[in-house]
Amino acid sequence: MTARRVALLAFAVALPIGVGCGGGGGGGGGGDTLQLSCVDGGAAPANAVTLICGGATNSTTERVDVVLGGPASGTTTLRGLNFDVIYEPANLEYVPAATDTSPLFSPNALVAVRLSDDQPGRVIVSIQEYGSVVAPVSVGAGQHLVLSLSFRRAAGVTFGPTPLTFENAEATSAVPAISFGSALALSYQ
Amino acid sequence: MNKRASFLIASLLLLAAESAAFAQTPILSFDQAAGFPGDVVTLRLVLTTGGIPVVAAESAFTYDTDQLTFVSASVTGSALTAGKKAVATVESGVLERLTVYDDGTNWSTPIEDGDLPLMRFRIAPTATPGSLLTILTHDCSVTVAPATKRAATCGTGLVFVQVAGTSPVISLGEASGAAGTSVTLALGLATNGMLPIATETTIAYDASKLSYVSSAAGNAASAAGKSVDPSVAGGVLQKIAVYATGGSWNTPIGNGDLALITFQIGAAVTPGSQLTVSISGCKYTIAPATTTDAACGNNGSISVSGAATCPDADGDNYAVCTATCNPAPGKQCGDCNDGNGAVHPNTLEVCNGIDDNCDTVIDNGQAALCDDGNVCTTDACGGAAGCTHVNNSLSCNDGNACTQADTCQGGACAGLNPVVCTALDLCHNAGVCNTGTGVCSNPAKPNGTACNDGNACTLNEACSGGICGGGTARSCDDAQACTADVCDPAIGCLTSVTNLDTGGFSAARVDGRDLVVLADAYNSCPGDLRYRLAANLDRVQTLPGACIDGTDFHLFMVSFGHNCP
Repeated sequence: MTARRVALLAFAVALPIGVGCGGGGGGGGGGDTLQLSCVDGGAAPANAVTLICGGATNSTTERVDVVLGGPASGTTTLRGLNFDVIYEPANLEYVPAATDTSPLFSPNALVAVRLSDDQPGRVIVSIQEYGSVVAPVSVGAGQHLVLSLSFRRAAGVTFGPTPLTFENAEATSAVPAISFGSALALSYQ
Repeated sequence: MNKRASFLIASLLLLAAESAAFAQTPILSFDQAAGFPGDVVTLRLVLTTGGIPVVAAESAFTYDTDQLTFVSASVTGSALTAGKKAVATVESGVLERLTVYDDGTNWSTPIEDGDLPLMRFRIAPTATPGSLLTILTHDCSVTVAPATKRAATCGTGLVFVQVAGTSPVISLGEASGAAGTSVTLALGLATNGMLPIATETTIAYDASKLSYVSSAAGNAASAAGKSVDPSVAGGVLQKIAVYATGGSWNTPIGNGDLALITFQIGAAVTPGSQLTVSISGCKYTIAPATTTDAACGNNGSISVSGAATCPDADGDNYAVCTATCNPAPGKQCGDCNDGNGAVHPNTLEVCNGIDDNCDTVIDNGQAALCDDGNVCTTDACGGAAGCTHVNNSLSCNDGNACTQADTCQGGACAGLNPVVCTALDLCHNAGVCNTGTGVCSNPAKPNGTACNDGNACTLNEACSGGICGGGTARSCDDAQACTADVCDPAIGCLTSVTNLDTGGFSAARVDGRDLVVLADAYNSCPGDLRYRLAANLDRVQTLPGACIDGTDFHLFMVSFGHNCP
């Protein structure tokens, strides 16, 4: 673990934990110049969805991966995920993707990712398999990328660690239940 | 050859020989005559000077006074000019000599060639018919001025005593042939003991039925070396003469055919008819130049072959034919009523109670005979009573395509249910029906005329070239954040609520929970258990758009993430 990693761990301890546990970290740049840095809580726990740093796209943009932790054994089935990702709109901007897809769900799954029209700093996400004839998604052990979101520094600001958290999060038809938790923070300084 | 004929020929030969021997010597020659016993005949005494200037001539005569009696000598003659006179010396009634001279001032004027006095003798009643009497001239002399006497050649006069009651008979024969063909009639000669050297016959016939073709010498004429000389005027044969001009001029013609005359029977001559070729003016000539009437015997007769003509009394050109007759040219058989010119084969059968066309069926055709060409009358044939035409009410055609239900009324076709022309659409006016085709015209309204293209999503359309188009797109924005504003061309604006779930944190926004509702019903159609009308955001109620599909998802996504106040 690097010195930077230690500092991130200390920051992670200070963050409130919502549902589930966070852990791990990575991403971000550093050094003498300003850049957007990302710290996460590590890999997603079993049957939990968390946010993990996906890497910098450039000095001001960071990809944040939504990852589902597979069960320790056996499989977990689910038909969809709904959640809001909350961030500080004074510091960050959500960067919509050209196409929202989910590598975890089937190619035909309905995927909706939009900024709330009345609540800045809220990205509303929904991924749903549809129809009763389509089998639920079955996941085994391991880390499973649900989809990636991109954020960039708001223009003209520098800021210290600002968290990205879940709200209104729930899994659809998940067996066993799936929890959501995030320990990811972005800073630009 | 009988004795008389031999004598005649010998005499003629003698005369010819003398003429040749004294060709340069003046000749006093007699001609010949013929007559019955008791007749007075006239002979010419002809002078041929031979170019010598004869001023006087004389001749002595010897003849059988039992057969001939001198009657007189004329004082005129073609050669007796310039005061010449003829003086006959007669002793006891017998002509001894004839002298021609002029004792006057013209005594030296030459006598020209020609007739000296005409000598008349009577044939004794007892003369033998058929005998040839001779009058010998002798001691012939001429005087050449002023007083030189020279011998002249003498000739012999001949008198043929004809057989009383007999003469040559010339007749035409008979022939037969079909109309349009040629037939030949023989012009025959029966000499009856006469010795004709030439004949002449006048011919007459109906030139409208016979056409003269040709003539040829018959066997008798050919045997005597004679030729046939037809006289034709305007194509019509007038006369047939048979004679010779050469050495056989005086050869008598025997019994047989003088000529063969060919005629063409006219094509229109009725078969079975008899045509006559009449002869008249029959004459014959005995040597050397006496022409006397011959008897004209039978006329020619031509039978036009063929069967009898079948009668066509009514003149309709259809005859009543039997096995023994033929129809006249241009007519046909088969008339079944020769008293009615309107009845015959190939005529139109009419409704009148009789068999007009002779097909053995009366009024054959019945109602068809009475077809008045009007479908609105029912036609019938009532025999002798004629046709009846009763009005009917059948369907018909009034010839106007703009009437669609034509029916017979009062014997005429009445057009009903007229075509009503309506405007094709908002960009056309109602047209006018074409009576020939029944199709309405389709006039376009002026460009710019307001119209409706039937698309509820367009406004202010206008006509252009008869087509409604243009206009502006209808806005369906209802200013509501949680509705899917969509325009359906058939319905218009649709504002379906996309906030499908109203529980908890999702109550006032469109989010994942709403998508769950949509996803649960996704790909379902009306009738499916999963189907939810609320999720059918485009509100299409009929298949396939009635199903909850990608269209609905995209409409949903318009308001995804929106807060619903």
